[in-house]
Amino acid sequence: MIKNEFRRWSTVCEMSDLTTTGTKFEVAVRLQRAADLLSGLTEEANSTPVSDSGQADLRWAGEFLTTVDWREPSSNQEVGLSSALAYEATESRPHFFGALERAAAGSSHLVKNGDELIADLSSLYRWLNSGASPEAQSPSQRALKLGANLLAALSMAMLAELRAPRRARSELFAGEISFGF
Amino acid sequence: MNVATHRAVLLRHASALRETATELMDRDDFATSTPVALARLLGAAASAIEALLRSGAIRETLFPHAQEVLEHIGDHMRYVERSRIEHTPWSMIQALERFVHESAGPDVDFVIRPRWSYMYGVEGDFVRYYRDRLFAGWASEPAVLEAFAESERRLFVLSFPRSERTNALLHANFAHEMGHSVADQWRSAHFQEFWVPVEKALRVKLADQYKPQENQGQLFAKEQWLAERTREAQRIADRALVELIADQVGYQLLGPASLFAAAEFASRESLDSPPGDAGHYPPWRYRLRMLHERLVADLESLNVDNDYGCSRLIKDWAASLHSTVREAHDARILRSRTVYQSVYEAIAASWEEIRSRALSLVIRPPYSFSVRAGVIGELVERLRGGLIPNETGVFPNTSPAGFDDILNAGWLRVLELRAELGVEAHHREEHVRRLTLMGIETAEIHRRFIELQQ
Repeated sequence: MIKNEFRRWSTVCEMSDLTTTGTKFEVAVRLQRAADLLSGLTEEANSTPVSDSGQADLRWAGEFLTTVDWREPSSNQEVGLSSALAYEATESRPHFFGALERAAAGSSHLVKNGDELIADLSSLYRWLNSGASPEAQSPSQRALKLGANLLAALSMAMLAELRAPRRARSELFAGEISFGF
Repeated sequence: MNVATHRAVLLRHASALRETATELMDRDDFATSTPVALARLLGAAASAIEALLRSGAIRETLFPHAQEVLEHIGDHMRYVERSRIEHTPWSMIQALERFVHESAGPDVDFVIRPRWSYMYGVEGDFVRYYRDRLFAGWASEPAVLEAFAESERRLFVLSFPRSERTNALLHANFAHEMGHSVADQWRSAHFQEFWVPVEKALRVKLADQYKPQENQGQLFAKEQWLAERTREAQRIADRALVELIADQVGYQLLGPASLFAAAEFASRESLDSPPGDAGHYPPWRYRLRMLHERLVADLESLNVDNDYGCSRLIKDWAASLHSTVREAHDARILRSRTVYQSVYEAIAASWEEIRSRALSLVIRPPYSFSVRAGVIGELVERLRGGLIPNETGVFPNTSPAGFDDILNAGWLRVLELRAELGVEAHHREEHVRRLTLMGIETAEIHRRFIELQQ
């Protein structure tokens, strides 16, 4: 119906694109809020308990990450998230694994090998899915930092995807995202 | 940039957008009140961002997100400006609005605007987009609750190629665009149940094709490779289903006129572009084949003696289209990659159920050429005589013609001219298009006059 290049880079979305865009933005905001909470918890001086709304944000982030990470035995793509968010989980999965790859490759002072990274992720998921419950075993500071960086990286990757058509980039920004360890 | 400066820049941007929205709301050269409603919504969104920035509810890590919302508001603001009467086929807008209300529900409003690119499109629902998505993260904030307190109607923007402003016949593509509203409802309710088993099966197939030597030493290389391909497959499935459903709804609303307009549009493009090279869209030949099936089914019950030759015209055209859609070039393209094949096999297996569920969401009864052939023939005869196709019957017992019947009649007259004159039909076609546009406007005035008398 329209020229391929225009399709790819049009600033104008078709209807389903507008729905997708809105959901992508909503997810980006929620991930950033969860990243901010985790980041706050990694500050040594911070002993403030997580608020009720913060717990809800963290539980949501855990559910989203568990769906995105299809390696995870508890990953369940059929239930839990709404249809729109499950769609976004598939959309963000390449960013997620790309970010993990960079974490594994570029953070040797934080994570010595893949096994440690995977163990950190599992403990993070358990704790997030509990809504940061005081009864649940807290992840290590290293796992919290990993989680904060991962969530912030995903949020920015999704935001970059929203901006990419407007800026007519030929590559999405995901490749430029750094963990900043 | 430090936090205070960044906040100040965002505040200034939000304030400027709010003021622009106010200026647009004061204009009085729109065909309907809907553009003003869109301006009001956008102004409210800009005000809400301002309030959230001032209260600190948007903290610095979310400044990029707030900036994104402001850029969306700015993008959408131009729709209001471009929908002024001088830019639009204003004479058919009120008739189109009636048609939209009868098809999609009385709570739906739309803005119509031209675009420089050669395409039709629809966006929306803007109220839900802003209130339920962009502001979802701040939904409980008083500023957000206040901004969207009065936004209950559904608001869409329909766009058309500027160069075709007065081409009422091509505007039959609006029916397809309205079909996106239905496709979006189907998508929200059913896409995931369609997609989950497709993705699982695709992952297994793709995993067998993965060649690890390409990314040795990377921990998540295979996962990322699979994730990229399944994301592509999801986008292809999503786009295919949305477009195919919108095509079917378009036919349901306008019958053959929607197919004539789609075929006219498709004639400019490659019929067999792979989805990966065409913004994930299904090949045109595939889409036209499905619409052709619908036409053939419609014509099966055609049995009209006094249709002024319209049955012969449409049957000849259907036969011509059949010679195009019986070719299987698109099928070969769709078998050329595992991703395409998996998606399109799944669509084929579920298509009847998908189509049936989607069409059950359309409130307007299906348009049938077979049922309307007599009326269409009468309107075609008026066009042959150089008359406006605005009414049927004999004075004083006349009735205003329907928007759908007028478009079908206009298209049939154009097809007739092309069959008779070939490329020389061009100039006469333009006359038919003008008569059609006038017919739509005049019939709408007639209908409103009748309503006033009642």
